[in-house]
Amino acid sequence: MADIPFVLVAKVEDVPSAGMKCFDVEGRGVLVMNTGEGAYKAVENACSHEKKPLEGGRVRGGKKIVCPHHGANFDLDTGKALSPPAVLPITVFPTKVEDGSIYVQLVEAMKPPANPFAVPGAGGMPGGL
Amino acid sequence: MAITRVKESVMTPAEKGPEPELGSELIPKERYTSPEFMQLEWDKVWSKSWLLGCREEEIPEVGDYVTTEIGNESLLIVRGEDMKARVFYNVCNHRGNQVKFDKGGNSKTLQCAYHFWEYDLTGTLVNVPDEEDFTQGCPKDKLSLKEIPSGTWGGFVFFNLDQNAGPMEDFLGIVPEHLDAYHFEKMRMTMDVTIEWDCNWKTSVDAFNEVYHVQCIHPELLYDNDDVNVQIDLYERHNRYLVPFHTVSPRVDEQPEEVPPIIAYQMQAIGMDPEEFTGRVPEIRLAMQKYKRENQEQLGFDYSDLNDDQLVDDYHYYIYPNLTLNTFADRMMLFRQRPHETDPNKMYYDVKMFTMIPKGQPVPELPDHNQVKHGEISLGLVLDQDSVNLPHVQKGMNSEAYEGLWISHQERRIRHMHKTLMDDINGEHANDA
Repeated sequence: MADIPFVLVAKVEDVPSAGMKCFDVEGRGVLVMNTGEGAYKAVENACSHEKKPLEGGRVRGGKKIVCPHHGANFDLDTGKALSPPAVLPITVFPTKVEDGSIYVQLVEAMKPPANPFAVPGAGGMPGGL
Repeated sequence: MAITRVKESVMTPAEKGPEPELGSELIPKERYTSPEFMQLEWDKVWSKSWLLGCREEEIPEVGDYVTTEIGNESLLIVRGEDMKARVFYNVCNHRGNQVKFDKGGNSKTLQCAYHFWEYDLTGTLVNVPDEEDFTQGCPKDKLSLKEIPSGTWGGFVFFNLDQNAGPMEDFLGIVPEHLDAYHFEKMRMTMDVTIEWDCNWKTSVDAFNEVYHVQCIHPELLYDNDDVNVQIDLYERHNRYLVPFHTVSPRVDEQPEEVPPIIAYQMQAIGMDPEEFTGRVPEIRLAMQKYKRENQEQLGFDYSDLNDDQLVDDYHYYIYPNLTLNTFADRMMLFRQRPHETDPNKMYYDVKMFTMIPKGQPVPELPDHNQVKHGEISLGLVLDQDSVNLPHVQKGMNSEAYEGLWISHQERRIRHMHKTLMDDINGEHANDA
């Protein structure tokens, strides 16, 4: 990820402690969370389940976000889905804070499989319902 | 929005099946959680039903064998010199050792690894070391492997633990008439996995016998499947639903004007260019049917026994008690749910994938069988979504607060399964024939 530039998202004062705010950065919805003591985390503002916004979801222990729509939990460091109805990860943006500003690397969005029916053990052959 | 269905079929009946009266009472949760009910199932269902043993292609040569388990029993399925597949209890009559421990192989004879009692491929005991040393008498000619009724259909070997079982054909009922058109006997297995799930075997069966869950846990499939216009057909023992594929669900509020990516992928997979498609999105399904029909030779397949809907849709069959078949024109995904040996809260979920080999293409080698615990491997997005709730369903069913299943009309295949199950438990066998 070293070759992906950090881009300016906001000033630290734009995201108050224990708060979150969504910013439009180059057409991407970047949800920035202030998890306390100067730590910020950022994820794509889209649940992997139905693509609904994660904005407004509860952040737990600075480590998990709960989708406000159907309650899926995600790890804020890895994006991994921790509970249904989500199975796929969300996109996590690496962040850094410099001179009072928050920057993120706009990594590529996590993509669902082109064919959700594909079964890996069968060489990607699709299954069914 | 209505869906276009074939008016006349070729081999597989396509018409709407009967709607038997199934009642509306709560389905007691004890059927999923109680050791006593589990024992009843063993006595009345697993010990009496025709069950899937293996594929014919797993034992093509004389002396080929596989082992398969149901409950506490292990069965040994062997290809004899007369090319007949026989099914035996996998137990040596001497001290009770299992004759074969592995999943499969080839043997000229079936020799127990403990004291080398040796059975021929018909199960006859032919060699016993120190045979004159038995005060009970020489065991040869007395202690053959115990063979059980078996039969084959569609490249599958079935067995029945009941020595007095009725004919397999009576039990399968409508199944051959409905599914012979797919020529499963020509398909080849490409994946063979068993997953240990922490749920009752019926919790798993139920998960695939309704599409009510699609809108909730498979939202992406609403852009490829019509989960509303699903034809449900309930026969004597078995049932099915027909799910239109490659069409957008009426549940999608804003129907797409462009070909959804998930359908575009499916079009490309058969050689269609979604960019060149000029019709409306609801017309794609019929266009794909037409394309597959017209290009079947180029695709390497013979679809002449299938109707147009079968070229794209999921003809989804539940073969009582424990087989689910997602049948498509040139592939099939089979689930087999097997009960745990002792615990009603556990089961074995077998996933077997099959493909028709396109003409001129090499036949792939049989896959190795792989057994894992839930969560150790991904089965792909859709099956991972299906499985994630099931251990929690089972835990919830064990709650004092939960009484039983409150079933919607669109989930009535579950109620139908329970009717067949209870007919067996109550000794009222139903036959499709």
